[in-house]
Amino acid sequence: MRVIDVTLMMDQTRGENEATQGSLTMARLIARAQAGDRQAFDRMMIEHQNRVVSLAWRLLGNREDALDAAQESFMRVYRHLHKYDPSYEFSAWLYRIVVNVCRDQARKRSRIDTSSLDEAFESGRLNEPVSSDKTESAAILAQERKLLAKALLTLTEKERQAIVLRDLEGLATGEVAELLGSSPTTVRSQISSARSKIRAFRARFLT
Amino acid sequence: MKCPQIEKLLPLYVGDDLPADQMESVRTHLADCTQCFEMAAGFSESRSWFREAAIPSFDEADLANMRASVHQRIAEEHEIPGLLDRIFASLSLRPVFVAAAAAIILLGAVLYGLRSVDKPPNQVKPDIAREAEIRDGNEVIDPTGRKTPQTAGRDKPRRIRRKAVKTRSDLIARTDPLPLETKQEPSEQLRIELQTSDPNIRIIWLARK
Repeated sequence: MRVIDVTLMMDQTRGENEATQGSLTMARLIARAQAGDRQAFDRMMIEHQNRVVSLAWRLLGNREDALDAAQESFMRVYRHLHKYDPSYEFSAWLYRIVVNVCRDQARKRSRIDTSSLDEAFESGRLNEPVSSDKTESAAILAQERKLLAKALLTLTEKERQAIVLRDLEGLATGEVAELLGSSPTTVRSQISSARSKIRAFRARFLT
Repeated sequence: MKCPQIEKLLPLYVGDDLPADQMESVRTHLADCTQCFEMAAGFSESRSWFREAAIPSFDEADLANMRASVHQRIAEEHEIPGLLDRIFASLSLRPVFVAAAAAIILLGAVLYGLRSVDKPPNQVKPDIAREAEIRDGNEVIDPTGRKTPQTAGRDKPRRIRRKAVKTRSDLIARTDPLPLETKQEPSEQLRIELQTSDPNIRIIWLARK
């Protein structure tokens, strides 16, 4: 039992060290990118691209829009990198940019009427991210994602942002509130409403 | 708490988003209420489904294209020239030509200015008709000796204003033997007008009869 404890402690310490080293590396990368190093900026993009694209897809529910939003987000990062204060967490700063870009994009884009969702699916406007792997499980997953995109469209913009950041990105309610410029009470209300709608959607289409 | 109250809290309960005391109250209620327990299970399942299905997978090629587009846009932004360069580019003009045109315009303006300075004045006021207004108390005496009452600037200090610029001899020398016009003024005044060689200059002499 004691041996297990020691092993766990060692693993924990190693994990913390790796996390610290990772953040230090990222801080150095950001500093170099701020100094105009394009390679460092590219490395930074590689480090964050999956999270950025995922968040954009979750907020917009569309593959092409998500890639466009990710591109625009990194452009904004590049333009405003000199304003970034290293004493704050970079990922939080980046999240804020992505959320703002997605919000702008959603407003520019003509809003898809929920009553014509089926038409949207038929016309291919609501493409889900698809893997090149065409196995049966991938097809099922793709179907699940289609339904999820459909479920997300039943939410209001605020509800979608709140639940994506809370349930999918794993941010605390306070962090979500700060990111969205709202109060924790409002965010809780939006999360509650979104979870109820998703449950109702799932009960209707999947059970 | 009763079931309707618990049902309202369940969406937040499944995400551990309630304060500790409310979490405990819901937990206690669920231990005894099968209906609410099943509802809570439904919320948990849908939340799990939502989280699992919402993991997108983008091809590396898509991400590489996205990064390449970002780099391209950055390069384009760096290549954006200054305002003047953009104007030259849009007009297909070379800066040297534009500078030469500007120099020619400037030179022309300077020459025109110099020519204007050399030009004699258009009008010469004769001394003979000097229009000195001699303010004397409340009256102004004009060159004919008439006294006219002052109407404005009564409180201003006394002053003598002269407009004559040429001497009598100068004017006589310039004056050609052009027809002399003599007009009889209706108000017992003699008006003599002399046209000089300069068409812009006419000498008008007003005198009492």
